[in-house]
Amino acid sequence: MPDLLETFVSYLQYGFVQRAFIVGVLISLCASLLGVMLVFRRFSYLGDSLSHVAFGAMAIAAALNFSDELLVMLPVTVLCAVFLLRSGNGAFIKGDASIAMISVGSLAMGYLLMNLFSKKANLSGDVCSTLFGSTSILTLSSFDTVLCATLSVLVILFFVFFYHQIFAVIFDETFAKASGVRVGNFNTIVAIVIAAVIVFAMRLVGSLLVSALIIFPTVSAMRVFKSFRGVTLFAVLLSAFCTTLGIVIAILAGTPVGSTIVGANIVVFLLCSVFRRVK
Amino acid sequence: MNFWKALLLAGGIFSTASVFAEKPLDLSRMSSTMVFAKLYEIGTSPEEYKGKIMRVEGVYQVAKDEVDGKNYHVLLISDAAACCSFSFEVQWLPNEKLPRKGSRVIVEGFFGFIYDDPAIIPQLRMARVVR
Repeated sequence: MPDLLETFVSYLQYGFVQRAFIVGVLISLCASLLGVMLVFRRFSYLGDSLSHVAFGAMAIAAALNFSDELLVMLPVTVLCAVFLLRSGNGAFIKGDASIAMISVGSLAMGYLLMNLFSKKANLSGDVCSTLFGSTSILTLSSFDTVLCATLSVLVILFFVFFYHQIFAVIFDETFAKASGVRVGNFNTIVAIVIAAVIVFAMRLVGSLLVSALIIFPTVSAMRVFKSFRGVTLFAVLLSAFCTTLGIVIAILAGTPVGSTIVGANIVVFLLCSVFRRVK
Repeated sequence: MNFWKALLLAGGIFSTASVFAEKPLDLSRMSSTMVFAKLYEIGTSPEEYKGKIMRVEGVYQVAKDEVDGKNYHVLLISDAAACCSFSFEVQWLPNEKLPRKGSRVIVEGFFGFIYDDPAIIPQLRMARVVR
């Protein structure tokens, strides 16, 4: 144990490890806040769908030789998020079907485009790393850290200042509309925030595992707390804890970071479920 | 002692011990996740590590260049999920006993690189097998 501690302390001296912890915790905080909104509105799979869209957009950016893939990923993901969140009863294809179609379509087309147009030597490795987030979080630059920190602060401020509107829209959209909340605009802002967090969260756990960051903390918190405030606060704490624990285990044991974080989330969910049964 | 004996003795000392006071950057003791992340950092800022002694564990391979027909000695290091790998070109010390192809070894050498636009080819120069 003392050896492990000594090893961990020596690892903490590296800038890329410090940045990984900072960005990891901030992104997981944002993801958990978004998770509260999405899980309660029965849009749990939206995160997964949007991450697949982001993957497809990244493939387009690579095929078009964009120097910064975010220039394509962010707008495309935002547009899809707006489309999915705002398509109501009048939609041509209903909620879950449209999510599924966009999700698998983006993933398949993204992989196809990368195979056809990618000039990189290790395509499989790049795809694997993007999908599962093996060490992506440990390869962040200082600029990436500042960008993530800024986004995280904005998301947290949005949640703090619009807490009551969020609560109203989640539980009774009709009442919220009647109370004067501009639900349409609100959904658009939420869509933009979700898309941005998803794109950055892909660096933490990869495209295929992003849903875990969104869903697990909220569902675990719901095992323990019944109030909206309690679930929100506990989900945020759980998310930060699981991400920190996941990164620590991954760098000490040499496991993929994304999967280890999700593993930590699963264990915490099981513990919360046991707690609920015992209570 | 004549010149050739002195040269052999110097080579012997050099090949059996790290005579430099500088402590090597020991990547062989790190987890695979950390090694890959550190190598990525080295790859993005190679100038900072040029000339430093590095100790790295990986799989030794020999690759033949189809263009010039030369054999290149390579050390392959994979990440935790084994989906990405990093490779060093190894330039051995003159009398160094080469490891078996495909074997897992720990190699120590001076970090260097050459530009191969747009990337770099990282190298371990004057390398020796540690284990």
